[in-house]
Order: sequence, then C-alpha cells, then structure tokens
Amino acid sequence: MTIEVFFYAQLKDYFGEKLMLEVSDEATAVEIRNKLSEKNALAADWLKVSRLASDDAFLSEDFAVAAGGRYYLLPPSSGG
Amino acid sequence: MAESNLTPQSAVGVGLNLPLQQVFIASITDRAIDLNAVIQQIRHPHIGARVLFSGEIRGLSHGKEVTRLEYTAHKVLAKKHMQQVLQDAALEFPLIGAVCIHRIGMLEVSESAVAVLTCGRHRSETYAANRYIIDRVKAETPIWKREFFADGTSVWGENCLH
Repeated sequence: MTIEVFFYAQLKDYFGEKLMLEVSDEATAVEIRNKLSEKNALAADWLKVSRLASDDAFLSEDFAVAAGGRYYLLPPSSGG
Repeated sequence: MAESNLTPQSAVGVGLNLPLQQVFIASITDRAIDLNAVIQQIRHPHIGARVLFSGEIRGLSHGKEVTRLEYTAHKVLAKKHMQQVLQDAALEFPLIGAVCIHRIGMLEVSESAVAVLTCGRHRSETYAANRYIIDRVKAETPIWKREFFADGTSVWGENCLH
C-alpha cells in the first residue's frame, strides 16, 4: 500500500517536503523509518530519533498506518 | 492558518470570595508577539505575581553573526502540546492563569520567538511554573528553528538546555 509522508526540519533537507512511500499492509513507524533509511542512508540518524504523527496526534511505535494515510515525521524539537 | 489570541481574559470570579476558574491560552502565530499585550492578557484580583518570559533571537550563535531565524511547526500538534503543557503546569503549580505563544515564520534579531506568561498568588510558584512551561515547550513541542548567518550558511537548531 502507499502512504504520504511529510517531513520537517532536517528531514526536509533529505527528502523534501513530502513523498509517497510504498509500505507493507502491516507497516508501523519502524518500517517507515527503515524504508526511508534505505532511500537516504544519510538521514538514518535523524530518522531514528524522529516521532511519527498524524494530522492531529502523536502515534505510538506500534501504530499500524492505513493505506492512503497522511503521516508526519517529527525530528527532535528545537523551538523557543 | 496561524492564530493568536491576545484578547485580555478575566479569570472567572471577580469577587474575592468567588470560586476561581483558571485561564490557560496556547497559540501559534505568524505575527509579531506584542509583549505588552501578553503581559496584560490575564486579569484577576487574586493575582499577586505575574512573570513574563520572552525568548528572543540572539544576534550571535555558534560564534557567528545571525541575520534571521526561521521557525516551522506542525501547527495542530504544536498547539495541542502547548495546551497540554499548560494543563500539566496547572496541576503542578497553584496558578491562576498562563499564556504560551510561539511565533513561526521568519524572524529578525531581537524579535520575540516565544512568550510565556504565568500568573499566580505568589512569586515562588509563578516563577517556577514559567520555567516549567518554557523548558517543556522548548524540549517537546513540535517546532523547529533554522538559524541563518551573515556568512550565508544556515543550521537547524538543536535542543537548547540553557
């Protein structure tokens, strides 16, 4: 299945604003990070410390993403 | 759409013996933060201490001259998280009210990027609550900054513990 992944901060430099990602039907944050690391190994360290989120909630590591869903990878915060 | 709520709020219970309904406001804005408006945003006769923190753009960072900073956010989550931090602060400290406003977009040196107002009965808990809120917002709220330097380089901000 295909999902849409949006990026922020450092991850935007590696992947742009968003991309369509092909994942398995049981995909979780772990698989998403692994697939993205395969696409760009330079981003692996940032992916490891980034949280997965939906439009309005942080998602747990074992949350199963849905086909066609919009998801966000959030690097560690640096506001203030 | 970024939003800001700078309308003065009165904590319910203007009579000194009426029960108090606390006021907590979190917002993300793409407009300049008006610190004079923020500090007056909560009014209540029980308030005996009012602390305003403003996090501002330093003109020097990493030993280089900073020209501007850009803040981006997952706006929905950032606002929700800031609201949660204010609610947690209310459980931790006897506050009458608190406001947290974070700016996004491109900011110039000396502009305010984040403002935290805490209002309480006494200075001790009011200072402590303010520190609690800004520390958590800086560390946890999904907002990111990019520093741009006079030499043409830029760097994504790292989590600041100062």
